[in-house]
Amino acid sequence: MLYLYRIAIAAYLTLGIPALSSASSLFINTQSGLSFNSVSANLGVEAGIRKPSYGLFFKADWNPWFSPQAVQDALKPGIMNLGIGVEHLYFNDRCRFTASVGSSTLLFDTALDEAWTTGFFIEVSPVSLRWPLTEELTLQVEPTSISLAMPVLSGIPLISFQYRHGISLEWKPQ
Amino acid sequence: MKRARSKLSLALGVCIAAALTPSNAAAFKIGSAFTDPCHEQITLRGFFQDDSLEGEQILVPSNIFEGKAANQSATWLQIAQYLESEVDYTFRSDFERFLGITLFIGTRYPDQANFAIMDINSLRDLHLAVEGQEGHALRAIDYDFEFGNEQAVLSLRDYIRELVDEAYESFEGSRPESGAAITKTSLKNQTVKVGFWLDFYGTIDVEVWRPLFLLGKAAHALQDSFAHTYRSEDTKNIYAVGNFVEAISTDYAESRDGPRHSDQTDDCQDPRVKPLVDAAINATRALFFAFRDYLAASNADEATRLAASANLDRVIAEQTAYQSGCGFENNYCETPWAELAKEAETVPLLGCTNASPAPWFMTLAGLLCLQWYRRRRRSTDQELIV
Repeated sequence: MLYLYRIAIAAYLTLGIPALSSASSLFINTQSGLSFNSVSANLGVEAGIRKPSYGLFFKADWNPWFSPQAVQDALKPGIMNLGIGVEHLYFNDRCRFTASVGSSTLLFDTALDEAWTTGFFIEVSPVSLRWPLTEELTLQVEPTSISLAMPVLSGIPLISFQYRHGISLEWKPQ
Repeated sequence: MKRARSKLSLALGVCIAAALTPSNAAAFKIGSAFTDPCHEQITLRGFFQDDSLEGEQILVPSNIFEGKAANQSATWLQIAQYLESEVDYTFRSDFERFLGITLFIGTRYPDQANFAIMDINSLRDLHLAVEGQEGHALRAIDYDFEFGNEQAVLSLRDYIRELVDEAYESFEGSRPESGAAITKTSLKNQTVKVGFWLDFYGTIDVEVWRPLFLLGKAAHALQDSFAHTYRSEDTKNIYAVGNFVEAISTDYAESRDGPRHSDQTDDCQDPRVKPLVDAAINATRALFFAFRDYLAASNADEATRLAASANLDRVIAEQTAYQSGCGFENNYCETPWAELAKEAETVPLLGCTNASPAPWFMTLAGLLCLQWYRRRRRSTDQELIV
């Protein structure tokens, strides 16, 4: 997994940045959201480079889980997702599609597995709705994104499939 | 106009007054018997000669198996490790773990089956089932008045005995041939998959050896008879059997339906409940001893087998002995367990009612009436201006 990361990062640095350096811009997203089907929350940051309608970004996402079984200790640290993603803006930059993939690391001891066990995650957000607030700030609403995290791949796998609903604030320096 | 306005105000006032009137409540509450890991702890102690957990297990005769059977699948070992951590005990051998963990899975199953405690719909079906209350040592719906106690106890005994007999037949089915020792291969004839629910992991299929899985369910019912009944102070006799299904309904009367199920006597961590827990451990141990003798007699003559079977009946009857005459009318002969149980009885939970609309509905209806009146008034005024 680490080897694949190195290749991905090297490819991005070698090919992605020069290709995007013309007429491209940096952006940073701070995200927050909830999932009701797999009760949890998410707080994340995306930072990347965008040409007018396509972009690449790094993503860090903290996903605490809620355990209804544990009455006194219901909120668990959950998982930390780190990865890379691609985006596409459309409908006059009013909509955004993203897809990201990366590592997913367990942050607490479960009944069967220890903290720091690492697997992978995939997340797709088909439509985020964008409202420019200022020249630099844009509000984004994500009605539904789909997240599949598998921090444990061996033995009895641990899978978290979430429909997420959230908002984010994008800052794009001028 | 003044008359219309006053009529509407009166109507609104009536709606709000009705909304604020206390009403009967009927609701659903999911309960559970000795909450985990109580059943596992009791079963673990019953599995050994005494509470020190030293020595060999008492359940399966040593000459029954050819070699030492054990389940070594990754899934089973992970479940076993989890259950051992729950009871803070590590079995000394794979064989012992195989027997003990299978028992644990069986004792948990009646309360949780293969779904989460927070899976309300499934647990509602499980705990509110018209049939099957004897699996938790509780009254069925039509077991009324003092005679209902006796009916409930007899149902409980029949349930335990049926499970034990099924376990015995499954045990015999595990032999390669009649009278032969069980081998690792022949064991698979009576290995089944059951659902085991774990938080975040969902339902996991785990293989269990059916005889001990069934015996675990029987032990669960026997253990619940110490939490779900009013017993004599020395715990030896049952005075009254608790009710869960009707206790959470609007149609409950203690004199008819028996005492309510109690969360207090379910709490095995409460020091005041310790005598009941100790009695449940002794009862479990007695059941396991009797079952072992029954297994050992399977290769013996008919008279020995009948004697072992009769001994099982005796042990089950002894541990669920019923004493009539101590009921609602005489406050259950003043047993201290009644007072303890009544500290946290199962009652209807939510404020919805069958008799009158919910308060929020009445308030909303009143506000909508007012809104409709104002709109009508506004349109009437506009017509007059035109």
